[in-house]
Amino acid sequence: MSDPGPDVDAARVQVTQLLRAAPDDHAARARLLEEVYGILRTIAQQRMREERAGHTLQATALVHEAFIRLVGDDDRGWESRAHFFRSCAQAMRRILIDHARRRGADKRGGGARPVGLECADLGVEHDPLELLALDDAMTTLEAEDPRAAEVVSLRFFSGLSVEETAEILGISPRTVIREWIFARARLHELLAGAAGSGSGGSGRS
Amino acid sequence: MNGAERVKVLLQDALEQPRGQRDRFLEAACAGDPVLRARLEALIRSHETADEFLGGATGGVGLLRIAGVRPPDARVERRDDGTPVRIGRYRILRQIGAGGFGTVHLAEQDTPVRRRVALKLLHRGVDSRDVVQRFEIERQALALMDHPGIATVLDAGMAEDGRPFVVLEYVDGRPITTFCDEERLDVRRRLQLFEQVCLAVQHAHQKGVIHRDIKPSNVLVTIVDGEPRPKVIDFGIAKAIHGPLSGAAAVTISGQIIGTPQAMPPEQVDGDVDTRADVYGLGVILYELLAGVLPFDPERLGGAPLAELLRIIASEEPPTPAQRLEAMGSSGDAIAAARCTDRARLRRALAGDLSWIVMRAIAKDRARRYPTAYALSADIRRALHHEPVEAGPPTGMYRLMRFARRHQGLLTAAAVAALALVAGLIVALAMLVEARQQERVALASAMEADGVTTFLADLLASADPRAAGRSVPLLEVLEAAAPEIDRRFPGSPAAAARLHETVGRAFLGLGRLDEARDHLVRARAIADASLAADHPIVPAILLSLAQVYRERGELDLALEILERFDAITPPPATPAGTTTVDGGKDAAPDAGTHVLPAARQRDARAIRASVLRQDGRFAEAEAIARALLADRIATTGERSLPTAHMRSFLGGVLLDRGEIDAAAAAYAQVHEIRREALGESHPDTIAALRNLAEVRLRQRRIEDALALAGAALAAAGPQLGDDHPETMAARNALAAAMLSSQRMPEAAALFRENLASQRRVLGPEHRDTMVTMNNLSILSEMLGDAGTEWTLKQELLRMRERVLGPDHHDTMLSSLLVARMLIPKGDFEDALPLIRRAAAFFRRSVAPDDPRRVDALGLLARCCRGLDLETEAQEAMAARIEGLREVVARSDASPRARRTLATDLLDAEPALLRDPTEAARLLAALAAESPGDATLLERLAEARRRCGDLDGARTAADAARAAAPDDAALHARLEALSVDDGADGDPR
Repeated sequence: MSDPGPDVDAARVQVTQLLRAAPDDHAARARLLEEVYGILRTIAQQRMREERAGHTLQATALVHEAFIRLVGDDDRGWESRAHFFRSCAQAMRRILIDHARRRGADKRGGGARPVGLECADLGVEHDPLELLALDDAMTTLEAEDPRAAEVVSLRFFSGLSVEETAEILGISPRTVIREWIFARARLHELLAGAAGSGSGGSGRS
Repeated sequence: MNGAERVKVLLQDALEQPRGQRDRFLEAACAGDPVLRARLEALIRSHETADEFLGGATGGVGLLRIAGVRPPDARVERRDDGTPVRIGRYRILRQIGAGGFGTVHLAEQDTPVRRRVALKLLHRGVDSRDVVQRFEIERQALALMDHPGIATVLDAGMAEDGRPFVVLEYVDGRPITTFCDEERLDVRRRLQLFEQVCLAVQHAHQKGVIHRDIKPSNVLVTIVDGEPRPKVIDFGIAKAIHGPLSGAAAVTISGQIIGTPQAMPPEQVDGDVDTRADVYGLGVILYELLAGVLPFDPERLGGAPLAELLRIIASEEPPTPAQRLEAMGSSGDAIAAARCTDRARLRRALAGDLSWIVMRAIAKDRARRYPTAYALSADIRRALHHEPVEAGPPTGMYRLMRFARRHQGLLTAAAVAALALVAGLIVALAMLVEARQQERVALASAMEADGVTTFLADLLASADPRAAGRSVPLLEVLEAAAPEIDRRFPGSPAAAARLHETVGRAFLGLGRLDEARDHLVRARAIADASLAADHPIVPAILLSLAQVYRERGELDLALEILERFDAITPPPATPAGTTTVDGGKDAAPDAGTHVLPAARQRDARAIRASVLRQDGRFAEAEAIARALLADRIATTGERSLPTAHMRSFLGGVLLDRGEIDAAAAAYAQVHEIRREALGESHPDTIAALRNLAEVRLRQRRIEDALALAGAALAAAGPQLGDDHPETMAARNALAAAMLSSQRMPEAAALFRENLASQRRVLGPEHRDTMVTMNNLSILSEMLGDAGTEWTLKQELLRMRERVLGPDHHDTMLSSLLVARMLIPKGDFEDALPLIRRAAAFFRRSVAPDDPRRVDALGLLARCCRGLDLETEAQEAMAARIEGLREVVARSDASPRARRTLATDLLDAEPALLRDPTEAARLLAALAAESPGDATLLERLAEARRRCGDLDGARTAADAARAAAPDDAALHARLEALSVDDGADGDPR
């Protein structure tokens, strides 16, 4: 990989400091989210320039790369990692939703979707309108059951595996799967309710 | 279990039932609760229709689905002899390998593309499903790797006979070591090839994938377009096959080793693996590429019992590749021949840089390894280009230190060990009682308590010094028992956290900082994950951890932990110290654990003050020390031992700040109190005596310092042993005093003695070792041994930059010293960055008349003038003079400050900063205080002449001549001064 460059260095210092902030320091939390949001977008843009055409990016890749570049070997242990990936999940969600909003608007406006660098093509194969609806459903789930929502957030938006999610939340992998199954069913239920119909799945094999 | 949790558990259970039996399951589970049943049925419906929503129910999640879904269990066709001919869509061509995990086959895939693949068919095991599921989880990360140096993982599945399989890109190559030997690659080409391997591994790490089993047979080399191309195979397979727990922990419950002992980093034994484990694996490959053999003799490892094997992996330092080759004798000829050279040349090629690089990559302590595969490749590249490598200084020294440290722990610290361990056990037992009270309701409480009791009883029984006849086994017992904690208390986080905390603190008492940190970090992780935030053990863990970090010199981490402590510990309701644990009203067993919040917060503040002091933040440290001292006086009295202890600490801070007289007063008082209360030969009294000696030296009361330091050393040596820290400190103090009284050879002997002791006991990069190096460098300077001085100072600066960081006081001091060597030689370019930062640092951290500040500013001015940076030069000199003026304005200004100021006012560049009138006034006062000082009188004459006081100048010159009647040079200078009497010689 090329050198991270000065902007990342500065961000790194900043993030390292923010990761040390007390858990209830909401201002630090907000700033951390801003930093992570910024770096995820930067990495996405750099990767899109560097990688061969047609290559799509994935949350897991982005988030892990962001982690290595921002936190890296500065191993501050479990707490910081948890903290970081939570922020990543939030940031990814925001990036996606922003992206979906723009794409949704494009669709409504007709025109071909530009493959610009702005948030690039994050490899999202989801319908933008569906993503926006999902965002709403997530907000509802967060109110109903924060832990289930957190599992979705970490797995779907940060791309963490079951085991990584388990480690971050300090629960067993089986519990993660349990939360995931429930959250997924509940979110789907909320979406189906909002759309007035199921998403047309034809049952499982 | 609350309602929401119950719904989730039942949902999961229901979905795990075969479809036909779900209704019956729900009926039984929701008997009499139609609402619950309706809720579950709705969720199951939603689950069923959700299909691939969010990436599916269990499989690939994330934003992008990996192409292809898991196929159904693969059909297996066999020949008559049972060997498989087809597994799913893979046609088996032939078996190409076998290992502990199963067999590897060359296979051909028909759809969707026709290609050759390597198919790993694993043994059937109880967790076959888990393997596939883990693989499903891992494959997303694996699919992200896209690098020509990494073999792609293509597929995974389950054969219908229940055996999981993994499909990889087929690489028709030879293991890298075999390839290099067969192709007779020389060292240079081996390194070039190896560098490519590092970069491939780095790519995987950036994608969040760790290999965990890097070894020569997993790095295959093929020839593409006439060039050798390495490819790393089996990435992520170890984790998928073994799972996060068993795959990480190298030893299974049945005592089998997972992975390859030769390539296994020590931490893998504990199951704590990160990317640096792969750096270790790379280092082992490099070792073999260079030396032709593995770091450890495979026969020895192969034949060793498990415990011995683990010990070798964890603690035995292998010889360097060069040493290894040396030891081989003529049997190394073939190895050299395979590298297109002869044995002597090969040995020379491997010595130095290459050996250092290898040894750094396979360091036992992963913090000492290259942080990334990229860093390793970068050093290889430097070596290829004959640039200085990052690795080194010679790891032989490090090994020596490690060895000494291991044995020192066993030998001299035995008494400390006994104390720390017994104290720790009492605390743990007390916690146990408390645990019983608090957790009686908990299901596992009784079991847990019994478990802890038994564990501690076992530990105590085997550690009883009377039974063993010596106290050394305490440490051995501790080492043997420590890994047992997680095994014995897997389901009892409170017990495990307590024991880790206890053991961690015992290790701390022994000075075994790595182990102490590991246990305390583990205790904290357990507490964070499984215990309530206000659990009483948490503050105790944090304080111990802060102390460990402080002793390790990881000051940022220590402060971070202390902040965490402050965040979770509310200030005590009563003023600090109104009640103390030593009250003894109820000497209940939990008195030790229930250290009152006030006392604990006092501990936290004391630790913080030490950290700040170590960090060079003296003003902050002093403020805390003064507050704590006031608190101790208020609660225990002016002359109590706790007060003396605090006062001694304050004395140290004052000394750091350059408040020497105040420090001296504090130390004198401490010594007096301790001598009275503890006697002459108590270690604390000796320490006070030595402190006093040091401060007397700083006061330039050299004879006093010599006497005091001599007494301290005479008491410490026989009492505490030659390698005891206090003995070393006393030796150091005496050496410094010798130095000041020009007894150079004696001083040098003492310093050398100490440096050897410290490298043995503390290691080459320990703070105190570096201080001694510093002192030796000063001594070399005084002895005119420029070579030694130069080497030591440069080495010290590099070490301090690396170990302490660029903002540390000691690093700044080194910068100052190196700059002081460079500037007189006219090497201003190199000196400028050093002296700039040193001057900035001392300007803000020490008193205006502190020699470090004065010196730094003067050197900065001189350096800037040398580079025509006139503005900066003037600014620096002005700051120096202004600071001195400020001090001299006070009535208690030291003669040194006044003298320096006077000299500056005469000699400063640029001349507009000079003030001969003021200089004359200062010099006259100084001359009156120390009559007969010819130099002073000479300067006074000069000053008076410059401000036109010719009579005064003559008087002073006469007095100077009278004071030094035989100093011809002085007389000549005075003559020159008076030649142009009457003319205005002052540039102003």
